[in-house]
Amino acid sequence: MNIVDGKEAVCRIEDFRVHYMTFDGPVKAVDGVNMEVYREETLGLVGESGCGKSTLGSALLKILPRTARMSGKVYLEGEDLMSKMEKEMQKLRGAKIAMIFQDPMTSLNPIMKVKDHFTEMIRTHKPEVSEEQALEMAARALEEVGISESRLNDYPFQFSGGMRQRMMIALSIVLRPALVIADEPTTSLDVIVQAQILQLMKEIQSHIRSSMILITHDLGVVAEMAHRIGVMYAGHLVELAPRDVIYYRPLHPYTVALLESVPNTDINDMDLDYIEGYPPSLLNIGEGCRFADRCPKVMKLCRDRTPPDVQIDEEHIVKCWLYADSFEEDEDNASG
Amino acid sequence: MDRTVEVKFLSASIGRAFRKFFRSGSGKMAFTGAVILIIFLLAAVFAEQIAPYDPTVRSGKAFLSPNSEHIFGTDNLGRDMFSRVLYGSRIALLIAFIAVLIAAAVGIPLGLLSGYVGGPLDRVLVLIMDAVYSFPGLILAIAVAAVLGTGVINIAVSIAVVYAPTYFRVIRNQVSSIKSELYVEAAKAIGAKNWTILLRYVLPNVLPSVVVVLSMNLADAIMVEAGLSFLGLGIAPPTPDWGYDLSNGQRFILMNDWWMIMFPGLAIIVLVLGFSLFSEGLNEYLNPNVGERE
Amino acid sequence: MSLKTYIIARILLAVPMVLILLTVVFVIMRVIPGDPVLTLLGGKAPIEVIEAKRHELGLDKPIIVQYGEYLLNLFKGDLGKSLLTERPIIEELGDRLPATVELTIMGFIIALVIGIFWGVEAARRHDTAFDLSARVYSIFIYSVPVFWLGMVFQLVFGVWLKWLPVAGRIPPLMEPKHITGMYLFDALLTANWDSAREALRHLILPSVTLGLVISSVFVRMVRGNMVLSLSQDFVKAARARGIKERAVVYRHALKNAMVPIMTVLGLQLALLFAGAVLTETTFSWPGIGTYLIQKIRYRDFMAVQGAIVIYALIVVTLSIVVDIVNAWIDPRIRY
Repeated sequence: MNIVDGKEAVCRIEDFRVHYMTFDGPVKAVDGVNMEVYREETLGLVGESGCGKSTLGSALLKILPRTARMSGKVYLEGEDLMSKMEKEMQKLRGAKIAMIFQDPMTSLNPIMKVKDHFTEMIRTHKPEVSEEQALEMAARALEEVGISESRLNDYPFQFSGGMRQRMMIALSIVLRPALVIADEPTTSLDVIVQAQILQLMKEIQSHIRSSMILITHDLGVVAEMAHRIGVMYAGHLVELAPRDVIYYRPLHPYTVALLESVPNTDINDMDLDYIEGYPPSLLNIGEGCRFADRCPKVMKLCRDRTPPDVQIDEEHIVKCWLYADSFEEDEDNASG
Repeated sequence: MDRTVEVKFLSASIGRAFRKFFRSGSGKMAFTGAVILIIFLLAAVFAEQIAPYDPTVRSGKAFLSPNSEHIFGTDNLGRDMFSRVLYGSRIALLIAFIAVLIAAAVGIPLGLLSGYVGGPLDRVLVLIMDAVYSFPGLILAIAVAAVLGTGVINIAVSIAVVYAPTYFRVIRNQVSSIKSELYVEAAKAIGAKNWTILLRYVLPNVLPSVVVVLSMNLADAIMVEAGLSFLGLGIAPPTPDWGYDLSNGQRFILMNDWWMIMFPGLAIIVLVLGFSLFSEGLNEYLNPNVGERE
Repeated sequence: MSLKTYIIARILLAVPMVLILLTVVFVIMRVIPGDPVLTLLGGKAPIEVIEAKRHELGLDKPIIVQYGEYLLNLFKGDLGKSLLTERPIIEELGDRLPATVELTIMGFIIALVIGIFWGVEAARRHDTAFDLSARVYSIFIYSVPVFWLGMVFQLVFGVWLKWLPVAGRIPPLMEPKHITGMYLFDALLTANWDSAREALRHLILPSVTLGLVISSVFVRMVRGNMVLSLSQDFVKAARARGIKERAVVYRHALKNAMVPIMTVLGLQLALLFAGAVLTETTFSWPGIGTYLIQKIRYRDFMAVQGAIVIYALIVVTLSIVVDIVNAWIDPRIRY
């Protein structure tokens, strides 16, 4: 798997924040994320549950609950999503930017036939398409994920979990979106099915030449799938680099710790390393590195000021003071 | 543990529970309901002291609109409406309480038995109770009241027939789920008798829902009683009764006698509202997760 | 299972339910009371007259035989004769049924419209002032006796504003040609616009009264189930596919919420008929409810029994209909 040449950004995210408003104050679920997703690449987004990765995924489609406030910029193929009205967003969802959800058992409408899921979606976005044409498109999309066309008349509950996830994938790619966000797409499936689905997603992606943000807590999955990996911790994107760099030359102390805590099947190494403590509460959280309390290399500076995004090289960004020495003067610009 | 510490802890936790109760919306609701209920109870108990006139005899001209002597006006026989509304709360509360007690006295033991014993008895009882439950309550009460005739107990029985299945269903379903809980299994394993299990383990667990159903049923019972007496199947006149007074007032509605229907009606609304608020608040407070789906 | 097989199975399942209800009615009407003939004829009737009447009605037979005859006659569609008018009760009820059906259908539609719009919008704006208004409305209206609301409407729209009639179904001699017996419907079918207007004018107050009171439960149920339904994954997934908000709310969320709503609704329809008895009495609406109350006044126990049986059959029929509609909405019920 190679990093795609000629890196054109399909999606660019700048200083992006999502704060949930509560009676006790804002919960800063995503706080100052900068990243780009290149054309035809898979960007893996990993982190513990509650780190903001799923919020970020849903935020890109602007389908968060009412209490969420977003700021910053998101460009999808040059279009500024954050300035779009709900009506315009609706036209993009499913057509240009699609989402695959975690639990295929609950993310299909239980009382709607498979074909109606497809025709409803296709004809919402392309009113000029006839019912028959829409059914043909649906049949083709199902074929692409390995489901027989004859099952168009079935209801979701007549499918197994793996089959439903195939359907979700077919549904998300039928309109050939530029960006697919897969939010823990295999977490609720068993291991064998998981491998099949991942393989399928890989094939489909190269077939339809879309970009993908793969959100998962499973480092094995991103190792398998992603060209580049972003590591999130407590609302911050702490490290972003090509897959091999993350696995072999991680820089951020959290990434290092995360990789060490992965259980493996090597029976000679049965010691499981883990990170002490818990992620901080994101309610009313202030300045400073959010990993500071658990970081083995913590400095005084870390607790006082949020580290900048340090550009190690063209492909590698770390949000950590350890690597900021040489950038002391323009740290503020770097984080902006 | 030191005894004073324990007492302190207990009082602190009660205090916390109280504070939580009054801070929550459901707590405020239950409190408002309770205040309304207490006012009506006082009105019913002290009707003789509060009422300015005898509610069953003429105290002034007929059809007087509200004025300083008759603040709710008078009816077609010149009786004071305020006194009648006041005394009306007696009949309403009395019948409602008796009806609900009878319903509970029939429904709870049957529910306990049916849920605990299970088997064919359970199935037959469930079938019968479900059938009665599905029947329109008021129409069932009308049928029974038509057969039994007037009188406080008869009306109460007619209403109780409607609500006994409610208790039965609630208790039966809870008992059959509690029955399989570990602590009941454990009690059985150490040789506890059936009655001991029912009284010591099962009953305390179903009591909270009984309290909620009880107060909900009181609201419904008052409505049914008013309905029955509006239809002429309630207490025999001249006893003051809201439902009867409403049907009496309706006869003269073309004469624009708004006070004859307004005040008994408002009395019913406020009292039922009191029970509803109380039970609703209590329900949300006791079972916070069942409130959404009815 | 196909929908057809389901319907047949559901109807068969209703048989024990019908039998139990009919038995309950029998027990109430025949076993509990002392002597209906005595109450009918009064205490001073000569003993021979009473005996003759008892024999005529079959009340001198053993109770179990009476029960058997009761069921057998019902099965043949025979509800007996009115003790007062000597007319077959089934005919008398047949004359009254359309009025009740007309009123309840209109009331139901009004309650449904209020319930769905207010309930859905409240759920969409969960925990806002609008949501609170729906909750306050449903608690408050639940406390209002239907007959009192009817009287207030009579007072305001009939007596004060003089906009609408306060009683009856239609002015004399304006009845439309009899097709279904539902005046508004028949008048519209026969393009009899004057009758239709009058029928509608008479129908408005009773049906709005009934509809408003019943809407309390509807608003509450729709709201509660929609709050749950809107929080489901498939709703979010539908939004993520760019489905229009209206379709997400009504086609996806509401249709799924309808199944639990309909299930409870089946039981609440009983409330509709109970409310209809009171509404009919309030507005002198000549339906089964007023029939029942009149017959109780005249101690015509055969007719009372007949009316109660009809209500029981209506309830069972409606519960079957509700289940079939549910199975049609949600295929999982059928499988």
